[in-house]
Amino acid sequence: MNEQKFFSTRAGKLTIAFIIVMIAFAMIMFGLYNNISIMYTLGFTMIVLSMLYSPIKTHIYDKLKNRKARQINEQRANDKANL
Amino acid sequence: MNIPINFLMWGLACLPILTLLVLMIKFQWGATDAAPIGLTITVLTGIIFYKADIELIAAESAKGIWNALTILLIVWTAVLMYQVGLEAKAFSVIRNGMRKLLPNELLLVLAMGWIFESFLQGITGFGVPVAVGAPLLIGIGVKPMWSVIIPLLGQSWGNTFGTLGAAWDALAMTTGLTHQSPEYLKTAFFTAAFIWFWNIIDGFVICWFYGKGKAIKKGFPAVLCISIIQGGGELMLTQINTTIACFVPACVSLIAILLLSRTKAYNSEWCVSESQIMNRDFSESRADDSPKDMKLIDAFVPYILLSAITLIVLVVPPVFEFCSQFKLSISFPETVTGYGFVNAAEPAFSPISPFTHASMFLFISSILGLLYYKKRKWLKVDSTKDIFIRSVSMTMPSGLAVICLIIMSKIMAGTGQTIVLANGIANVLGGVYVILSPFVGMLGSFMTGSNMSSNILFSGFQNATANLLNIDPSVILGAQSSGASVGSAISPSNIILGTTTAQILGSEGKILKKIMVINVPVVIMIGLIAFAIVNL
Repeated sequence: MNEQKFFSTRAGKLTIAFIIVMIAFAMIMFGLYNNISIMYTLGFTMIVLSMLYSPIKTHIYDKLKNRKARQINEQRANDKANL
Repeated sequence: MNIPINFLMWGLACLPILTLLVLMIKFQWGATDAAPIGLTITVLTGIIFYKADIELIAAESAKGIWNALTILLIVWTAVLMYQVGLEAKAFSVIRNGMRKLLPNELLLVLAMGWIFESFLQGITGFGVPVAVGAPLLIGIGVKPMWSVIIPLLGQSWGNTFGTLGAAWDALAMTTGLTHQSPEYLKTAFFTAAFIWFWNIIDGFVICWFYGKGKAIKKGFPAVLCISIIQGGGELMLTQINTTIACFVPACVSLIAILLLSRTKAYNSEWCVSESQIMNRDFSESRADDSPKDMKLIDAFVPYILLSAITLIVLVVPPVFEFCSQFKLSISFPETVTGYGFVNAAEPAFSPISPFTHASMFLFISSILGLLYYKKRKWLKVDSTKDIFIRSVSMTMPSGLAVICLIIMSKIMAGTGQTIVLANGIANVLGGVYVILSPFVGMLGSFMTGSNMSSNILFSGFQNATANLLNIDPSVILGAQSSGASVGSAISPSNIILGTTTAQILGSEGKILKKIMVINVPVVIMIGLIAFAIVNL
């Protein structure tokens, strides 16, 4: 399997998100053991952002992208009709 | 704890669960998309209204990830086992072989979707029956969605006394029930009795799914016989030894189904051709791709190894004692919310015993199975790398959802939202609470994906509420654990195990909708029975 290709798929991107969660887990544990609040705060923020990647991509970004593409197509069709 | 228990706080605690249900059922979002929204709401509610600080939230998140990893190890290794079988074309052999062995298709579906899952639940649990069962059912021609639904239902009765009684032990430990005391035996009796009720419904529901009334009529003697062995056997054994109360009847039912296939009623070919769960095109199109020299027993080698290794390690005391001495755990500091809700420090949080963990059994049997198939030339020389790559890429997306759901349940529990949720129900309902007591158990396993976690989370509360309301705690605790057992079938983190191995990730909402229609009425019935018992 082509590595470059895999990481550009949805499964690949979620794999990256999973790896980030694992790194964040290590950061939280390190922060809790050594009482470094910035470390566990950063770790937790990384978890939330990685988790939110999928719903934001599927239900906001892709939908906006599709809507924009539709609008451009409609605009082009209108321009053609006007010509 | 000074958390105000009012409608606002209760409603806020409900919000993440409601959001999850609405997004998954109404809007058909997959768990990977819905769970982060539920998690975000839980975090915001926890910080703003339940006065949790970021240290608490981060610590509970880390606990969630740690717990999720123990589940994910099972998913990864179960998928590896599936990929080994798929690459060797063992599922085609299983389909053809089981069809010959069990010519009655209804009996075949019951065997592969109910009996085998019960057996796996009896020893391993933790979602293994769903993850392993789904591809097996697809192998015999069941449609992918149904191949997830059926094992979810088939395994759920075994959740309390399965995994060698782990969930039951958690209940007994949390509520301080002394081993073999009259209260212990009475609670075990009510739990097993409620579960038997669910077990028999399970059998008939699978028949209904397969071929509606026609299949119920045909399957009636088989379901009755199997349920007497499983449910009745479990009820009887709980009064002797709760550790083997599910495992032994599950093994006996495996033998019983083979004997049933020799009886007049089931020894000839029978099927419902218009069955909604069967993929007839699949059966025909894949009919010839099985290796000619592979026998049914060869195809089952990884599963036979899985059963043998699990049995040897878990049931033989010296082996178990030796293997269970190695443990991995992490520690957590004490955290407190602004309302004084304390999460005690954990010097060794949720230790994993790697050599007695189900994932180890799955991994060893997968590797041995792979070597066996390679030796018999059913796998290509360079196929190992592909098997591993496919296993990893198949499981990563679901991994994120499982982690998210478990973090959500941990934050809910750690900020006091879970206890407010349960207390609110009890305060408002008073004596009628008994009817809803199995719902609390169901809620626990819905959130955590585990009967054991539900019992740890809610048994103490249920026991205290029963005493407060002057109700027999054994009935309430029976309703709690049986509700949790029923609820394990609708837990998104369990569903996702099946959708991953069935390769229909994203269909969790559809599956949840189908199962909830059955499980919710059953839990209401258990509640009503419990209410009748305490008011007799």
